[in-house]
Amino acid sequence: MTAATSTDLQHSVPDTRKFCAGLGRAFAGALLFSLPMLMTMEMWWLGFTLEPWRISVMLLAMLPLLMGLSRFGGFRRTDRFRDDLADVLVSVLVAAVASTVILFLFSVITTDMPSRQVVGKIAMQMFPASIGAMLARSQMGDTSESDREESEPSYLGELFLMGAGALYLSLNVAPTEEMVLIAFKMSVWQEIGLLVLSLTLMHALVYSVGFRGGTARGGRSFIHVFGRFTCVGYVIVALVSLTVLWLFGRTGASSTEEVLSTVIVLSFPGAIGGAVARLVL
Amino acid sequence: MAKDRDLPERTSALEWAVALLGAAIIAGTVGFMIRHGLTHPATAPDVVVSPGMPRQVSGGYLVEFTAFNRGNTTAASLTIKGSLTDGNRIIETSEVTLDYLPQRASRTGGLFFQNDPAQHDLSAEAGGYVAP
Repeated sequence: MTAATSTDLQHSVPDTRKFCAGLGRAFAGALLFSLPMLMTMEMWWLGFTLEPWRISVMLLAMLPLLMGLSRFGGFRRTDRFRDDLADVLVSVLVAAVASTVILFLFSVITTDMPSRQVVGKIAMQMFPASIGAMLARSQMGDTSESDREESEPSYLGELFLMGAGALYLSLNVAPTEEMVLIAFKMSVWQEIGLLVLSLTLMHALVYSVGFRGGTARGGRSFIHVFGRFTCVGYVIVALVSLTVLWLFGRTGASSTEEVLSTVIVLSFPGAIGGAVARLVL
Repeated sequence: MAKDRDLPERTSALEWAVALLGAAIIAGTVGFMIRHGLTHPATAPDVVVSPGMPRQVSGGYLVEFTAFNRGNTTAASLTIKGSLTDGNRIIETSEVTLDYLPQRASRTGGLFFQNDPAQHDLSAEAGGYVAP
């Protein structure tokens, strides 16, 4: 590490005060994003009804997701793997501390509870809270517009952001009973209607906010944007919904039709989140 | 300074220290979950209901109970049934539903009776549950 003292023109010097401010922002972001879930009882229940391996898979799958978010948003500008990794781990810590404190104050976790229940409940909240902590900078940070301009993501990056945006909105509602209930209530035709509405809204939003001021769209045709962004985007949104439903144990004993209609329901908020990802992330 | 901010930033020792704590938390949580999964194979809910001493309340009697799930799976919508009997004759029954009784956890509740449980044989046990 002593080599870093020699003048390094590629990287700026880390600043402790800036890091502390970033930590504070991360706490705010964690709370902003995860409070709805901290106050959702299904989320607490998942902490003890989900199998331990499923919670482990969720926590491990969260890491690459956070790595991606760190590259596109995150606490600071990063270009090295280890700097992103540091940011990811910091946001995990922030998420764990924030969730523990809030759940304890809510008396959702108590000292006389079995440890499996306490750890499970905190682990469930660490998922949304660490995403919130990671997004804190881009949401309320001092990132200037020009800063964002520079980090124009590639097509794959764009799709990743869409998936993250979908997760951002659908995580709030995914654990609730209502997802399954709505899917039960809907007829096939209503499901098709919701799918068409999701695609239409998504396309309209991708068209208007996906490209800054509509300028960058330039000569791209309707079919081009629809095929490359809206359709592929919706598939990603649907896959994100399916993954979340699976992680939350909502796909287990259900028939394919049931799962499919729940995916369509969950993809509705997901599609909107994915389309406006550029605005919220 | 403005120029400084445009450059990607390095990680300070302080941030690495915080990051290390984060790594410990995630490793600890995953480790705990995996260990728990291996040492506690999912067994069906096994509910033990222990009724407390009956107490007189306005309009009847209250029997508080503690339900403990010795199994390694959560029981949802668990019913707890209490009954007062005299030999083969059922005097009175009372029932309550617990939303959830997690694995290896206990919940307390109460059953109300019109008749004095002290005068009869009191029993309390789990009725049924659904998988969450």
